[in-house]
Amino acid sequence: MRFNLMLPIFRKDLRDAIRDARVLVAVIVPLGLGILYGQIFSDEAPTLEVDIAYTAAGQTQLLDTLQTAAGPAVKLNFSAYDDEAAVREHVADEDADLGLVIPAGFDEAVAEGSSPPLTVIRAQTSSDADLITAILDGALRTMAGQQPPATIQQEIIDEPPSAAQAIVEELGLRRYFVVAVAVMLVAMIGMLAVPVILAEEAEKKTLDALVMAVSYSDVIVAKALVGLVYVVISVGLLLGLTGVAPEQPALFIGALLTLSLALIGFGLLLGGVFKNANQLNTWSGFILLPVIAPAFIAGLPMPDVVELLLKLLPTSQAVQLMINGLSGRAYYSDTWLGFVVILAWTALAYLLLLRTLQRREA
Amino acid sequence: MTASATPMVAVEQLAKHYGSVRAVDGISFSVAAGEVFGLLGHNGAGKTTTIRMLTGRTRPTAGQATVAGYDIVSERDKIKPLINLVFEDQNLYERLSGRETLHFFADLYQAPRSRADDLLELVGLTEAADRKVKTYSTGMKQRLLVARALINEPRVLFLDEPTRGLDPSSARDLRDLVKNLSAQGTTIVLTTHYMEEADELCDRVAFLSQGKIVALDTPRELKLRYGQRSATVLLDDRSEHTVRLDDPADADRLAAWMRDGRVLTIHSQEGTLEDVFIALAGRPL
Repeated sequence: MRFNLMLPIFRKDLRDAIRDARVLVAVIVPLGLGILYGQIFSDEAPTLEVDIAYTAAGQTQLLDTLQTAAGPAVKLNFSAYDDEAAVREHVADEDADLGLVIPAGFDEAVAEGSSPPLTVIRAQTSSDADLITAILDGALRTMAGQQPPATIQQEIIDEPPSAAQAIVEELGLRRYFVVAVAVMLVAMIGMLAVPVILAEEAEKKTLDALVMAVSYSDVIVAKALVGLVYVVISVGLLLGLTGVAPEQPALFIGALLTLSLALIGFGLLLGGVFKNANQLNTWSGFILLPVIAPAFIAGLPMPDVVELLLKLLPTSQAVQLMINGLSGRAYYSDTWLGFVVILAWTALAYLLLLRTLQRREA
Repeated sequence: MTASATPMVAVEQLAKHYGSVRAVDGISFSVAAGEVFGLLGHNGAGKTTTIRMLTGRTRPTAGQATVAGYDIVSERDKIKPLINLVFEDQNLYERLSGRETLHFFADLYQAPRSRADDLLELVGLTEAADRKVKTYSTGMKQRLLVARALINEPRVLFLDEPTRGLDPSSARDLRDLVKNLSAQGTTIVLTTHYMEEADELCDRVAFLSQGKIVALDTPRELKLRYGQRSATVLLDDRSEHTVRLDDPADADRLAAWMRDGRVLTIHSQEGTLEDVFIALAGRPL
C-alpha cells in the first residue's frame, strides 16, 4: 500500500461520492433524524417552571434558599417589583403564579427567631402556589438554622426501574437518541455509502482502470478512509447541531472510530458481494436493520438471552461505550470488553476482506 | 516491422483456466518495441483474458510472460507505470469532467497535470474539457479513454476493441493516432473485430481460437497463405465474373476470354484477413 497513490483516490471519492444521491441520502437522513430528536426531546429543561413576583426592602437570601429547597426539577423565575401593590397586580393578572412581600431586616429576624411577617399573595386555586408554599416552610427553617422536625423515609412499593431505564432517565432522551443516531450514521455510511461507492466502481468498471495504476488494497484503504472522514464530519455536525458534547471525548471518539472501522470493513465486503450499487441500495434495509436496531434498544429492558446476544454485537457495545463517554459516568462497566468485542468484529471484517481481495487478484 | 531480439512483450505457454474452461490455453508470442500487434478472434477466443493477464489484472494459471522486461506476476508493480489500456467498455467517471478525469489519473500515475491539457487537445476535447463526462457522446468518451490511457506515456499500450461503436470519422482519427504512437516507438497490442482495421494497423496479427493461437504472422503473409487469390473480370457483354486464380478450371475460362478478346477490364484481388479468419475458424466474425 502506498499512501501517495491512495491519496488521489481518497480526494476524488471525498468530492465525487457525495454527488451520488444514494450516498447523500445515507448521510442526510440520520443527520436530519438526530436534529429532529434533539428538538423533540429537550430533556435538559426542567419539568416545572414557576413565576414568582416579589418586593423586598433590603437584601435577602430567601430567594436562593427557596430555589435550593425546590430542587433542580422546579425552576423558579423571580421578578422584583417596587412595592406590594405591583406584586399584587401581577399575581391578579396571572403574570406571576405567586407573590412575596419581604419586609426589611427579614433574614436577620428569621435568624434571631423573632418570626417576622412574610406575605404570600396567591390565587385561590393554584397548584404551583400550593407547591411553593409547601417548600417555603422548609426554606425558612433552613434560614433559621433549624433541623427538620423529622427525617422522611420514603418506601417505594413499585418495582424499581431497570438499570437501562435508569440510564435513559438520567441521561435524558435527547442525549440517548444522539448516541443512537450517531451509531445509525456510522452504519449508514459504513454499510451503505461506502459499499455503494465501491459497488459503483465495480459496476461501471472504473475499478479496472484504477487497478491498472494501483493495487486493490490501495483502492480499498482509500475507500475506507473516505468512510472514516464522512463519519467524523457527519457525527461532528450531529453533535454541533444538537448541542451535545461528550464529557469524556476520548472514550466517545474511540468507540465511534473502532465501530466505524468494523462497519466500513463489512461494508467493503458487501460492496464486493453485490453486482451493482442499485441492488445493494435495494437490499440495504435488511442488512442495516440488525446493525442499527441494537442502538435504539439499548435503553429498553430485555430478556437475559437477548441481553447476552446484544453483548456480542459491535453496535451494542459501541452504544454502551459512547453513552459512558457522553455522560462521563460508568453506566456500563467492562469498557475493555466493549472494545475487545468491536475490535474482534473489525479483525474478522478485514480478514474476510483480505481473503476476498486475494481471490479477486487471482 | 518484425519482432526483435528484445521484445517488449514476451509470452511463453501462457494459460488461464477457470475450472474446466481453458480461456487461454498455452499461447506464446512476442511483440517488439514499436510494433503494432493484433489479437484477433471470436468472442470468447481468449483475447481479453490474455490482455487481462498481461496488464496484471488476472494471474495466469500457467506459463510465463514479461512486459517491458518485467514478469507479469512477480514484478507486477514495476509494470504498472509503464503500460496502459484503452478498455473495451467506456469505464469513465460520469460525474467528473473530462479535465477532472485526466487530472485524477495524472495524480494516480504521478504525471504532471499539464499533460492532461496536452492530451485533451490531442484528442480534440479541449472545448468540452470542463463538461461532465455524462454529457459526452460515445465518440467523445472513446477519445477521453484514449487520452486517459496516454496520461502516463506508456511504453506498451493495450487497446481492447478501441473503435467499437465509433463513427467512421472518429475511427479514422483513432487509427491515425495509433499509427503516430507506433511511429514514436510505443508498442501497441490491440484486439479488434474489424479485419480491415487489423490489416491497416497491425505489423503482425495472431488469430486466437478456443484459447489457442492458430496462426501468427504479418497480415500480408497470412493473406497469401490462407486467402483466396481471385480476379474480377468485366466482359464485352457487360457481365462481371469472379475467377479464382488457384482453380485450373477458372484459369482456363479466363484464358479463353482473353484469347477471344472478350475481356474489357480485369482486377486482381488478394485475399483478405476476413478470408483468413474464415479459413482458420470456419466461420466469419
